[in-house]
Amino acid sequence: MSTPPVLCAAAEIALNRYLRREPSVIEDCARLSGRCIELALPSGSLALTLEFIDSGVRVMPEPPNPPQVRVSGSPSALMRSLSLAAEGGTHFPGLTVEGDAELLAEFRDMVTRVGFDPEEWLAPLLGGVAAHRLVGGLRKAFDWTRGNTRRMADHGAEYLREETYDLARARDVGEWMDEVDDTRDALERLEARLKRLESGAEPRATASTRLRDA
Amino acid sequence: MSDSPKPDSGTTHFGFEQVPVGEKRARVAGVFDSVASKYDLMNDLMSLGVHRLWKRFVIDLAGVRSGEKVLDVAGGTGDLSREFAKSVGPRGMVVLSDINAAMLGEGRRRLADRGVVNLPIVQANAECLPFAEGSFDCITIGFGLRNVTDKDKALRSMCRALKPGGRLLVLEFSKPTSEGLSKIYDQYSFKLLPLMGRLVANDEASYRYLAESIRMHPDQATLKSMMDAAGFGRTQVYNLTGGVVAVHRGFRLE
Repeated sequence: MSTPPVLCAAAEIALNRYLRREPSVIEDCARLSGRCIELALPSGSLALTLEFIDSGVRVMPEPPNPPQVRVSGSPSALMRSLSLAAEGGTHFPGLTVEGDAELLAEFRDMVTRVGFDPEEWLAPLLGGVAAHRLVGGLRKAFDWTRGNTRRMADHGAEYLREETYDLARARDVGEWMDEVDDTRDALERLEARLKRLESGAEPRATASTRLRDA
Repeated sequence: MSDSPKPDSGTTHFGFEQVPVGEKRARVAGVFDSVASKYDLMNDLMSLGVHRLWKRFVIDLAGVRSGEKVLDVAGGTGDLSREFAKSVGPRGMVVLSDINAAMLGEGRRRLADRGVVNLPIVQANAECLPFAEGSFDCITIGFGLRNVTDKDKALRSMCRALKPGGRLLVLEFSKPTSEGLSKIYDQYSFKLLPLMGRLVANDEASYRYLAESIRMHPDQATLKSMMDAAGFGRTQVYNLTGGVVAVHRGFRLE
């Protein structure tokens, strides 16, 4: 099923606003003008097409021509692929790619090349200094919150582990699981021996019985 | 289907009336001369302010960039031109055009009130735009196409004035996509709209014409095929408010 046109329009407006932040990306869009990427959800329940044009991309419910590359995957897989590209990854985990993967890689590089700087977004609204202070303050607040959350989780886990014994240490759990595995293996061996004895099968000839028979 | 005047009979529609082709322009001019001063107020009242969102959608979808040349056909009071002027910046250019001098006068006054004074204003008929071929990156016509006598000719004229790769955006009333909404909309258009026209603008007939002209305007699919026939490609229809209004966007590909 193709995506409703109004959703395509929303995607196009957002994507173009983002891409136009980096002039070299628009130059790349112009270079790839006319080429298409079809994006679809895995079940094919929703699909849309990106066509490169001189001023960015055009997003349409249906491809105007056969697309150069078809990509299907969940939105989370798409996002993962983008974050991997930002870290230098070159593959598309969780995505099914048919056609020109190089075009897809190029588009992914364009998206990651633009980057996101909240200060730049806020500066026209608040002014440069206020935007810098606001973003700096927010970053500090987020860091403080993240650090405290992590510390609180560590302390809580330690309390549950050492004081109330509701949680086991990872090393103890590992040892216990190894012991469980050994016990299970020993039990399986014993069961096999018992089965052989019950069925009255000849015990396997050992070195000592072979010498005695000789 | 085309919406051109009938060549054999020499008539065209003016609301639900059939009038001689030569007469329509004068009668439409009469309507807009009459409503010009209260046009924006009536738009707000009639659409409950939603027309601002429709126009915002057109502005965003047009994606006008710094340095581009934009033509706002039937631009009336200059709502779209004002926003485009911000987007194109000092390197670009926005031309406000309308066939109606009263509407242009109103547009000039409103733009000046908002500090937009360096914008060319042209009184022009959309059917034969007085611009060289390939002059503009983007052309818009907001709530104007239904008043044009020969829509096919106007679409061809706009296509000619666009640069290759340029886009035309047509914002116009259209056909609601659901039956239920269509019935409510009919009641609203033919009962409430003329009443508001009488009470607010003291002009019931003009607002009755607006309602009738909306009904006579081609529906979404027909207008799309007209745009394709006029030379546009990648034409896409965006229904807004359940199809009460539709935005058609087409590109001059060659």
